Amino acid sequence: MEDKESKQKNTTRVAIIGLIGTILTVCGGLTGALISGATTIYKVQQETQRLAIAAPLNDQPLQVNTRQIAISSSKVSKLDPNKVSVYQDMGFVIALPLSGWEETNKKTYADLFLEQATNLSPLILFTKWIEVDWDDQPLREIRYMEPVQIEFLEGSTENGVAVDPAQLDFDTYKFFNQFIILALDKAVAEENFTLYELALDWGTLHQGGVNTLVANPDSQYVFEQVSWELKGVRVNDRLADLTLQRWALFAQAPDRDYIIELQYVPAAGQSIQVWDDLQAYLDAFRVIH
Amino acid sequence: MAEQLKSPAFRIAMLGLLGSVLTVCGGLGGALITNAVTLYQVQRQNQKVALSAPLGGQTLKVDTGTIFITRQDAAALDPEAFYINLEQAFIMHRPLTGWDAMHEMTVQEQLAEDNVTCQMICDQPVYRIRYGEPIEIESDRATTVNGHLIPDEILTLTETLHGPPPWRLPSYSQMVLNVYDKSALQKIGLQTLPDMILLMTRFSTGRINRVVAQENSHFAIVQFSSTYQGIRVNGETVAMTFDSWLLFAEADNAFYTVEITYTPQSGQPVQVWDDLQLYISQFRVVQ
Repeated sequence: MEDKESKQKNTTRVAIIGLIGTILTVCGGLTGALISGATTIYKVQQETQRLAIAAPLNDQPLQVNTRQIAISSSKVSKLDPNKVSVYQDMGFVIALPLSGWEETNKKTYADLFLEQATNLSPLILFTKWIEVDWDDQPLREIRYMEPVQIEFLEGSTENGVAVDPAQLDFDTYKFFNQFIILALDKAVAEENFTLYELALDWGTLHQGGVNTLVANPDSQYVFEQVSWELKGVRVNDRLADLTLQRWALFAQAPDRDYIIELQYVPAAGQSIQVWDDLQAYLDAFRVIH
Repeated sequence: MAEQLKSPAFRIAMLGLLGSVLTVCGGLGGALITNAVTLYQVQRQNQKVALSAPLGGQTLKVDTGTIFITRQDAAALDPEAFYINLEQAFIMHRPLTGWDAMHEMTVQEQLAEDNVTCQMICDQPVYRIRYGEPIEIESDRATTVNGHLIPDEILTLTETLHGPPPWRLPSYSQMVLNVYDKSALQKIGLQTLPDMILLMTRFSTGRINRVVAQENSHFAIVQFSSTYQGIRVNGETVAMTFDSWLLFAEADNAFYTVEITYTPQSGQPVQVWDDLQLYISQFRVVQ
């Protein structure tokens, strides 16, 4: 009888321990599943904020992580001043020029028009809509110091349209790898454009050369890639075709819209570092909130 | 040794080990399933796009994951509810109660309604559904759109087409589907979805409030609005906003645009908006 009772007690103990084990396993499993689910959601959301756009026939995409663009004022003060320039008044941060690059003396939109014998940014074409309204809007430009020299010849075309060398003011034009930021006061920009209109109109300036346009539903950024084709031209004294690649990121803060334009001129013999530097400039760009 | 193997303690230990292995496998399997389900749900959620018109206007909801369907799925749809056009590879909902019959025409005929001469891709098909009676809008040279006077070239064109101001023009709540053959577009230098988006938005007088164009996708949605001030409706001077949504879809051989236009101040029943939402959300491209 005693033996039977002790056996029953033992069985009950084992059953309770088993039950506790089962409950712990269930809790552990559920917690694991929850953590795993949350991690997946986080990863997917991170992934959707990371945009990568390659130029046609080019394996290497230019990437931007839109999640990291916005930065608080307190975090800005912790940035290394030996690596970045902080423009509090214009609300953005850019990398300091890297080796072989320089920041030009262009400080406003109107300054874009001052150079001669140089391929100017397509941003100048906005004047057909805004005339002089943007002239005092702040701008910063970083350029690779060695330009690619282009000479237009008889039979040269620009995006399929014939170029008449006799109509040009100069024999050769300098094309730069460059990074430009135009910080538009929203009160000025919104007179004519929403952020999306800036992006779409920048695209139309490229005459059918827009390859990619990305505007994710849960993001306020627009990212575009365009090509600009020059055929039958002389590039650094050699007859060649050349396709300029441009990317533009359109971003906003409460009081400003930003156009961040990158131009890559893929010329023979040019260091691959130029491309990496352009990516580094885009990686370092921040909008202060 | 053999005795040890037969002992109850060893048997219990083996059972415990087996249970643990099963638990671990179950846990791992559960975690994998949870992960896959979560991933699927997040991806499905990302495909659901909601685009609001500004100033408290309506919100269009489109599940972009359902835009493209197979021929088999298309064949299973009810032809009484859906207009199935396999030649042009699309499906749209048939007109609901209160809406006119679907009007099929060409781009040339569509432009001719506004006395505009078609210059290119004139033979491309257009399918339109309109809600009942239009709103008659009277405008003149002082009318503003989105805070700006109407550009002189447009005023001149309007005067050429409709005579001197004031102009009385009808405005409809409607859905318009355009199908553009890719080979026809290539002849005029349009090849990509971004090209189409830029072309269609270039001629819009509306304010573009939002664009959704996801990476590596074959669709885009644009929301734009036009607020007219200084117009007269039923003899009263009013401000009126026309909200539009434009869905772009790209198939192998064609681009499709579906545009819906709605005026919250039209005085039309809210059902009109629900119907428009249904038309655009039920549009399908057959692949």
